[in-house]
Amino acid sequence: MNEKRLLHRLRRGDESVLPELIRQYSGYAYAIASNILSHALGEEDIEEVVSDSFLSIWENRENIETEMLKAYLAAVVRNKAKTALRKHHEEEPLEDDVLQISIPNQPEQKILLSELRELAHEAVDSLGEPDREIFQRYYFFYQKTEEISKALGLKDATVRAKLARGRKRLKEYLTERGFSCEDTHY
Amino acid sequence: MKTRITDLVQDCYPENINIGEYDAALVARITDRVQDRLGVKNSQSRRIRKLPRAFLLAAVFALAFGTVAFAIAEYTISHRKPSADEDIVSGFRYEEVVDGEVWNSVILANPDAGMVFTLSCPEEITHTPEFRCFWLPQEATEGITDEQGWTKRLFCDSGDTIPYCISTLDNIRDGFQLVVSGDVNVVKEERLGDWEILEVTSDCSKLIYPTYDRANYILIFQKTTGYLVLISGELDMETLEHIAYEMEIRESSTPRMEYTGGVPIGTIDLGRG
Repeated sequence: MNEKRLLHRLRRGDESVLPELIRQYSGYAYAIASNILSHALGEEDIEEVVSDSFLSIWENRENIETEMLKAYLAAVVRNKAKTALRKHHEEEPLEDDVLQISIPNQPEQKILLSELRELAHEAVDSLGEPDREIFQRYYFFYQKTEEISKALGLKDATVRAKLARGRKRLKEYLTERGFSCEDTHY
Repeated sequence: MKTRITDLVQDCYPENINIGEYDAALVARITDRVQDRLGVKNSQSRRIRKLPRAFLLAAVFALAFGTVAFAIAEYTISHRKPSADEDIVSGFRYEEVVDGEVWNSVILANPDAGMVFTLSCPEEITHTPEFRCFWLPQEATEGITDEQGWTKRLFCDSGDTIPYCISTLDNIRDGFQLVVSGDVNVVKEERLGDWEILEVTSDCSKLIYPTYDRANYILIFQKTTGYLVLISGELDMETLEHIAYEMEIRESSTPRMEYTGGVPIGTIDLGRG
């Protein structure tokens, strides 16, 4: 069933849509949750996060503003998985993930983050293929470089090199717009 | 400030990248977890994984099986490979007396028999099951459904192959034997509530009369009633599992066929049974 129809039934409160959503997207949701959590938590916890995500979508169905249900689900799963990591005092899986950003002035942090996300979106969109897909698979889906290289038929070293290039592009893009940034660690 | 790239790209949803695979068992577990937390217990729209309890209650009321013996009885489906020198027959083997003469009706030798399934069922069964599918890999080419999609048989013939065939076995009775031809193996046995699910593969390439190389079967047997629904096809097992998961089974208003004697033996070979 297509996304729009599912979303329409979901917003209408049609209870029978929930098993359909789960059937269609549980493999997808589980893959995202597992990529984020499998280094720290077991199968049970991962499935709990996936279940929580579907439940959350059902309970918040009246407030879903986007028309992209799958994207919304991905965002929910990512957030739930990250919350689960924090709850268990576990680190996030990616090592080369943290940036130290110098802020020219001090606006509200929420507004700042929102602006940074917009710029990051532009920066990622400006990458050519397959660099963009590699970057999204790694930083959005948390896929390991080995998995990405297998999915795209590239060497692991190539994937790593393209990721490094993507990071560099992101930093340059932000720096050109007044946010100088460096790699760092939490 | 410190921030994560993964947080910065949270809006960079990759529309055309699909990850993860369909896994029927995962779907069933997640559905259970979500529905349990929502407190859904007896919805009519529950699929097979959650169907048994509701179905059993319905069956008990509808059939008025008042005896304690039936309510607690559990019926079985067993399987065995026939030995090399065993003479397996298919068809309905029974005797009838016509004008004082005993006729041994319909015995068909089946030298290709690779597995025999034997059912124990309650004699009290008076009606047959029916099903409806909420998902099919492609449209059925044969089979009549009612307005709500309930039916007893859906058959899909693509011309070169038989992708799937879904049917109820309406003539089940205690001791019924089902024969599958070929080099047959039970690859998975699972129990979901009252349901016994058997996944069976058959290599048919060496049959005396081969019509396809390989066929897959899913036998869905309800241990409390003896009802059997069969999904078979040349499609891979994962796709047949998907059909099974998206299927609802209930008792129909059709009475079971009656026999005058003997133990029925039937082939359930894809396209033949």
